[in-house]
Amino acid sequence: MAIFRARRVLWRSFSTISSHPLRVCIVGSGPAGFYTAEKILKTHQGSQVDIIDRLPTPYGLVRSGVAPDHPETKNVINQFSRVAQNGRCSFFGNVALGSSISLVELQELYHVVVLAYGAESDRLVGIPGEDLKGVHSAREFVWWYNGHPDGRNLDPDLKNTDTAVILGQGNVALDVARILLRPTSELAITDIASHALTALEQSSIRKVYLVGRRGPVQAACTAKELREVLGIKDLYIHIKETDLKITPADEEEMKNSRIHRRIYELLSKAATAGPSQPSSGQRELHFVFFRQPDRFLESYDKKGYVSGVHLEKTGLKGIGSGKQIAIGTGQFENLSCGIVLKSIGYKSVPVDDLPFDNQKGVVPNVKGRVLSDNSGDPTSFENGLYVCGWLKRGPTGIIATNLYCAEETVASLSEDLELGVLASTTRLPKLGRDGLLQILDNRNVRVVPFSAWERIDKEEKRLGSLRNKPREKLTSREELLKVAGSE
Amino acid sequence: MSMLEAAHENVIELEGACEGSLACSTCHVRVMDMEYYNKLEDPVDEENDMLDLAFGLTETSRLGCQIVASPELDGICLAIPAASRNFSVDGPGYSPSFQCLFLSETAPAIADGTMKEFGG
Repeated sequence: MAIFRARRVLWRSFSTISSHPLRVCIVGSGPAGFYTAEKILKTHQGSQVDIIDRLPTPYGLVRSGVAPDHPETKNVINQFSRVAQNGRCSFFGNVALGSSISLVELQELYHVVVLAYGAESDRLVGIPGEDLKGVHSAREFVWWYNGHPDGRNLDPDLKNTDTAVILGQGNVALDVARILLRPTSELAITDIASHALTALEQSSIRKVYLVGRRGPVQAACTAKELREVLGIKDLYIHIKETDLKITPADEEEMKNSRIHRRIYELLSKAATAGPSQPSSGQRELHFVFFRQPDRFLESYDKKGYVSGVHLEKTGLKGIGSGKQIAIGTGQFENLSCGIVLKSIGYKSVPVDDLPFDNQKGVVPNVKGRVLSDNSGDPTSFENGLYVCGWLKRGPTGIIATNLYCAEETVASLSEDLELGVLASTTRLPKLGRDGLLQILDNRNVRVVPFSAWERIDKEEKRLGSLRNKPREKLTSREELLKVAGSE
Repeated sequence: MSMLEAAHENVIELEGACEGSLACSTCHVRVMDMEYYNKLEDPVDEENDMLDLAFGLTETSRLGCQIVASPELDGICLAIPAASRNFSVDGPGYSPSFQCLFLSETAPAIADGTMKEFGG
């Protein structure tokens, strides 16, 4: 047992290699990117860290994923802002890995490259009808209501139907349900994108189904979000009491997981709490368990449009280590709807020259050190290349999960520096920031530095104040770059 | 003043991503003494919801932003998780090591503490 001062011990020995500073480029400015930057700046006192993002705006999913009615969750932006304002850190927006600058070029410009660009694609259900109009991924829908420039043209049709089906019961699924069902007067004072608020105000959706393959004990959401959706004003909640029956295997799962125990309790209470029928005109939220989608049904009247989901009843089967999976029973039923939102998981996108595990949807790595290929050979690493966040672990967890993820990746990096693993690159100076900006300038890439983001931030807040919103997001690249560029 | 605020005032590294608004679990602390844990008011639902998500949760875990300094908490020892290299991405392998803080006299002055290793 050792006695330490309750203060940080700084690792100074290898932060300045020879006489030149450690230059690091982080690709992606969400929580993974910023926690990594913060950790590197603290641990390596001479280091210079540049964070690039393909969007003109920073913060990744904190800006484009966290729901508009969850402003406190976004407070972490203040911490990330302070990191960006550190003299040894620079943010460069509107710089895309691949089209603006290649991975190989970054590796030439920097001693270390950390990829933290998350997961911008979707797991597919992989069933017939997935291409029908009206079937959207929850990710796109969230981008749409959060004003992401790539989501503004989604134009979901909320007027052709009174029923929406959401596949999945995780927190993203609950967010989507809540945004569809909350009184729009409550949404009007959030930073929700205006085009989405307008569409929701005109929406005819009154019934939302949250469909899960397994039971209430396995639901992937967490208590805060569930409590919130169950507490929506004047909302009829329906949960089938027979779905709440638990087996010994379920009891075992709950014994080992506080989260699942509390979720089950909340769902049980909600099943019996309210009236057994909705009142006239009341909005409805239905939790559907033990159903997996078999195919999407096409409308007879409107060819090419979805009109429902063909669902198969499931049972649970134990597969060892306390886990249970859903197995089809061969019994089917239909659930009619005019819009489907698939919320079954995000997926990362590979880039050129980067090893990628297509099955897991991540960059193969060991504790954040990128492996040279998928062969599983744990001794062959890509020199100076690291990964953090969803790209490393898969698309799970909360903002804070990236805190620990960054700790691990930076520990690997620090160890590599200490052991001389990176000596072949670190004994040479690298151009870093200056080199990057020169290349981008030659290519006419309009870089958005942090000070330019601050202009965007100020303008969004100003526009928001005119409408009693914390901010009015600028949702097109053109608008963002215009404001970024103005003095 | 909450323990989170006290930590920051004393340059102790306790994360506080949501700045004390019960929207995260990064200020998770363990109360080392059951006697002190029992002196605290029970956590409200919202705090329990966040504790669900905390790493290395124990029977005496609380959120640092919800523990308010008072004379009767004089001498309380809070263990702060210092994220360790034993972090296992698969979950159950996580073995956080903790740093202990002692509150002296009139909280929230924080004195030096003892580094201990706690198993996962």
